[in-house]
Amino acid sequence: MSSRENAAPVKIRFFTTGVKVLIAFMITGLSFGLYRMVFGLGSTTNLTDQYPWGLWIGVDVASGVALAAGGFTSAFLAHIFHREHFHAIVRPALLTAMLGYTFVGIGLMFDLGRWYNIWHPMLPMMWQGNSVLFEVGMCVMVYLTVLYIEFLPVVTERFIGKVNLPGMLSFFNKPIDRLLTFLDNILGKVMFVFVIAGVVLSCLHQSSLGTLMVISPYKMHPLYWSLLSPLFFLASAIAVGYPMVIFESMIASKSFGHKSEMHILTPLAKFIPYLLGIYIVLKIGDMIYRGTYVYLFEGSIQSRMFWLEFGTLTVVPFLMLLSSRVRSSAGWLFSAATMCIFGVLLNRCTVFFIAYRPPFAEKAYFPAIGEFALTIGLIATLMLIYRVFVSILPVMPAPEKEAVRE
Amino acid sequence: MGINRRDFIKLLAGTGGIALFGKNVNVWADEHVTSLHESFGVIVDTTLCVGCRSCEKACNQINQDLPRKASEFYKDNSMLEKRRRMAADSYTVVNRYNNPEDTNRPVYVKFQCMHCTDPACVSACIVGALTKESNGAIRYDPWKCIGCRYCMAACPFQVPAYEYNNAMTPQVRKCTFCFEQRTSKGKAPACVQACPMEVMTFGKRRELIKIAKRRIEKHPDRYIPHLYGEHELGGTSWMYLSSLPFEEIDFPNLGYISPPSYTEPIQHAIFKHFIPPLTLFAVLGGLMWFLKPKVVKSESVLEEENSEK
Amino acid sequence: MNKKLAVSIIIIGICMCFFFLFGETGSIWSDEDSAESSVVHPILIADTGIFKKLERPPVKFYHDKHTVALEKEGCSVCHPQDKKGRFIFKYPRLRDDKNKQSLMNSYHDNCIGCHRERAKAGKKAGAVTCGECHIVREKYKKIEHAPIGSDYYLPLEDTYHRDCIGCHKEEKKLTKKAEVLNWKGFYVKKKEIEKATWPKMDFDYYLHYQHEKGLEKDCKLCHHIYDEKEKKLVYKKGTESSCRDCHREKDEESRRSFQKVAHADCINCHMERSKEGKKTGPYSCEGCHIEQKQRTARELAVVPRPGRGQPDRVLISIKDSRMKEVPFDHKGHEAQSLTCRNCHHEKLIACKECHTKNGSPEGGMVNLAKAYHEPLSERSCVGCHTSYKLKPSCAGCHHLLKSGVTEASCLPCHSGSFKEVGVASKLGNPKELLPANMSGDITIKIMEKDYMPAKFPHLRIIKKLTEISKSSKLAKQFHSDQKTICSSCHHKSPLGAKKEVPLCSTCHSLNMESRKTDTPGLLGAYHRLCLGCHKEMGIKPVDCTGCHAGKTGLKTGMRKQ
Repeated sequence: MSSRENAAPVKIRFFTTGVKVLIAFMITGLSFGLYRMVFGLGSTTNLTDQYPWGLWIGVDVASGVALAAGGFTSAFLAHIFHREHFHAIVRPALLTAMLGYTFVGIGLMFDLGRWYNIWHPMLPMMWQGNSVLFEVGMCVMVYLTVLYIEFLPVVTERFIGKVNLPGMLSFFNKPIDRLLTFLDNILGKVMFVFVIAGVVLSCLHQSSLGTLMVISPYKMHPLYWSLLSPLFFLASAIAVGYPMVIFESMIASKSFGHKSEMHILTPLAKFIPYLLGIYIVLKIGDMIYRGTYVYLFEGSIQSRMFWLEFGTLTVVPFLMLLSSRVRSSAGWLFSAATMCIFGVLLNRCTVFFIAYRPPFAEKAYFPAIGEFALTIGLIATLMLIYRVFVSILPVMPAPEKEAVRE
Repeated sequence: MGINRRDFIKLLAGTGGIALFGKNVNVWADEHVTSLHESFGVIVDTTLCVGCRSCEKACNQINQDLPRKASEFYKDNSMLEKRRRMAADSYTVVNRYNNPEDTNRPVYVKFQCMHCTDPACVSACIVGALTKESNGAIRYDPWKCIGCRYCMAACPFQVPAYEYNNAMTPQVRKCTFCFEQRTSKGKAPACVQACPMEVMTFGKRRELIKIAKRRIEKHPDRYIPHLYGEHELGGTSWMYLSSLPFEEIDFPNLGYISPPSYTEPIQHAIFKHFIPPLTLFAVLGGLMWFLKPKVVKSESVLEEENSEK
Repeated sequence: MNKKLAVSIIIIGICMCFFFLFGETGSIWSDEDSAESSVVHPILIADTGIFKKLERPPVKFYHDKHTVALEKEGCSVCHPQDKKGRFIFKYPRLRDDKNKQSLMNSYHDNCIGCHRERAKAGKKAGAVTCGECHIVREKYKKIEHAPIGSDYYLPLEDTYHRDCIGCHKEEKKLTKKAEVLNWKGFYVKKKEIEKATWPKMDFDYYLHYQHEKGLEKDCKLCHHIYDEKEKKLVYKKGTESSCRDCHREKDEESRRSFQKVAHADCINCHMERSKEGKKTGPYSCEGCHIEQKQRTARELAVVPRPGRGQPDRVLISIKDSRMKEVPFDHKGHEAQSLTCRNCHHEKLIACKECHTKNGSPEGGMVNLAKAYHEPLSERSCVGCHTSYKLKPSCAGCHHLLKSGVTEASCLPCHSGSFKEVGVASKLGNPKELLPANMSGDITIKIMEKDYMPAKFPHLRIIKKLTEISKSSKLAKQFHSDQKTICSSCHHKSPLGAKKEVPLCSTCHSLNMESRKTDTPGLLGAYHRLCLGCHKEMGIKPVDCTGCHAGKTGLKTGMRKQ
């Protein structure tokens, strides 16, 4: 927020092996995307009249939004709660969130049948306020703007006094510099509004993603339909925020050859059991209240998914993170964080196309190769852009200053 | 943070102003259920249907934008052997069901959009491409549609079909109640008129309920004493009479609560005059203010930096 | 928490989840579940009368599997025997239904104990773990789980009340999602339930004759009555009646239920005779409880009239009755049903002995008039005649006519004497009634503006209907004259008022839009009448071209377009 961040662009070799793999995925994914644009959804996906929503909604849209929650949760901790100790993780989390939401939008463009009408919800004449998806769309749109605004100081910090456009465009150097300085001044004063707005907007649309499937009570498996669904989605999104921060911080450290920032991640991990605990208590409490625990042992795919995503991938990391040894060990912390992330990912997928049981389906839905390819391709692209950004902009904490912090 | 108490209070006042403005924003059409007093409906008496599929043919003919199908398609009785559902090129289908009371006399049932009184699809549609007309029909406007397919996920009867094979201009496809061509002028839809057995009765929904009840009373041995769609999901415009239990003819056992009654209270509660989000905003703002570390030194350092710029 | 503990928690967690991911209990017996043979009916062991709320799912018990497997050892493995060596078909042998625990133990000790022993001896044995018998079922949707109350053959209605409704009530409390069952549900689903249970065994005249032959008319072997004075069972000639006369659906103080005595006496007798090498009946479940085939004419031809001193014909007269007496052909009616019970309940006495004028407890509070005239009963005169009208040869006309009695239907029965019965029917030559222009094939072209014309062979149809009427004794009695045949199609019209009947289009309007009531328009009226009759009688044509022979032979869309 202030220009006194200890962040700097990372000096790395861009084209590592990993990057080449990511590029391969990106190209595959985008070619399937192109195929979808030319030949339609029917030839690229396994979507049917019975299963209108599939992998792209479950992963690209829903999980994308949930896993980008690290942005507002770390902003909440660092700025609203003023825990300056965690300042260093805010920018990377913010970048993840910004790119995450951008790619939610991009992913959506491939899933929508009439993607060229994606701007329609902005017109008041097309506002349909009863629709949950309307609220999701509007909040995500506004939040994306807020994220870009929140990220602007990183850009201004990098380029103020250093604007150097090549050749003919150097005419614009000074005006751009003045614009950036102007923005920097204003943003410095009003950023708190956007930070708070970001948290509010996040709460709104994270929960509304949960309200989406409340509209089909008769088609959802009882384990996954509840009027408290918005609360579950919100709680799990908040709970997965810090694991995401931990996850990407450790991967970034590994990739850039730095040591893991355990002095920040371990105290951060201390919050996770509380957040996960709230989610677990809510979910189990709702199950007991509604009596849906009878479905836990029926052996159906939905009950098994519940055991997997909730049992293995949410309760077990919760128990793990209660231990300070786990929290202080890089390896264990990473495992726990990864489990949380996959738990939420599987939870979103289950809600949208596994626990969703259309009344006349001949066979269950399983994503096509094109769907997997595009999803993985978009994730790979996101990671690549992340890498580009951190090597150009001051996002990651500067390594030499680490000795100063305790 | 570079703001002082005065500015903060100004900002708080500003948000209060937005709240007042929010009071007047009404994007919710609350009247959509009550104004349907004169809406139309159809009773489908499945005990009369012989499976001739004239209704399917008439539907195909009256909807000019559907691919024309040859007459042989409707003559082919082997199509009835497999259970079909509506698709992007057929708004209505007739299915055959085995009659356990008499295996020589199967039961035929016509399926199409139920044109619910409180429709899930209309509530779900993000841009309002699906609307409930005052005469009961649920209309689709492809111009507004963005192709998100939430209406398909929401419909309890799984009615809307999608043109997945259309790359550029895919539409949601479902029965239109012949709104443009017939029902907006008070005439019966094409399928109702084409049926030789007069399986379907068209009229005002509230009168049809009376007719159906009388019919059940007159022939208690013929019908299950239940008019499907009278109350299901808050009522549907297309209602069914049957001699077999409705689960056996592919009518799911649905409750009487309409799907929007689950989601709309949640949405309305959250956005009532925008109070909950604004309250949250204020609470967070308060937290941010009061939890600010009150270290004088750092404040002066910040002021120094600000003056430096 | 140290690392080891954390590791163990993780491992436990993963194992637990894998267990639930890959383990579906009850897979051993699930093959049976999918084998949808209608013959293999399981008995559902639920005993909810004693267990009340079940902790585990009820057990599906395949009796015939066990009789086959234990053929050599015989029934004594599981069933106790009385002093005379006759089997008491109670299960389990050492059944102790004092309380839940003792009953559960007796089941487990008997079933699992036996299975274990056999397994030790190397023989093919059944399940020993919990989940193999108490199979978890995903949904109790279909009535595959129709219970036959295993605690000794409760009647279906009682089982429904105790087991079906009881379980659903519990489920509703738990999950709020179970279907709430009620009496309507039972009567709607009764056929399904009956199909899933063992078919009811019907001991008809044919079987009775087989027993007479085989046991050389030694009636006392089966028939007895209870002598109050001597307090024992004795045989008295002339008092033979149905077992159900005394042995009712449920156990009573002095007498056991019909199911119990029937199984005990029949099966034991059959088994004894089989041991003695004599020709005998079956003693496995499916040996008797099979879908009753239609008895062939040859089978029925040999069956003599059951001799119990019944009258050939009776003039039914009721003291102080205001209607004329009804001549009743008892002999003729005997041939119409397979058992005496169809009319006589269990007692072989006249209806009015129990069904008094005002109704009495012996007659189930059904008064005499209702006993004779109730259209929905299968026992009353009117009721049985009504169900005859549903036969395909009759249903063509009768499905349209209101069921039950009208004023015109009194006189054919209440004629006062036997003079009218058996007299040749008054059905004459239909051609005489028709005006000249109606006697040939008619072409219906009233809607020819929009629709193709239809052929209508008027006289042929009337002749056929007359022929059918003449061939049935019941029809002959009631179809008093030719005009009765006309009245089914020309309904709600005064017949005989004029030479011509009103046009269909008088009431069934040509214009569909003007219909405000439930009456179909002309299009629907024609098709419902014609196609309805053809469907009920199972005759052709039922497709469009059968009547609308268009030049292009269009099958659908007779609209001219």
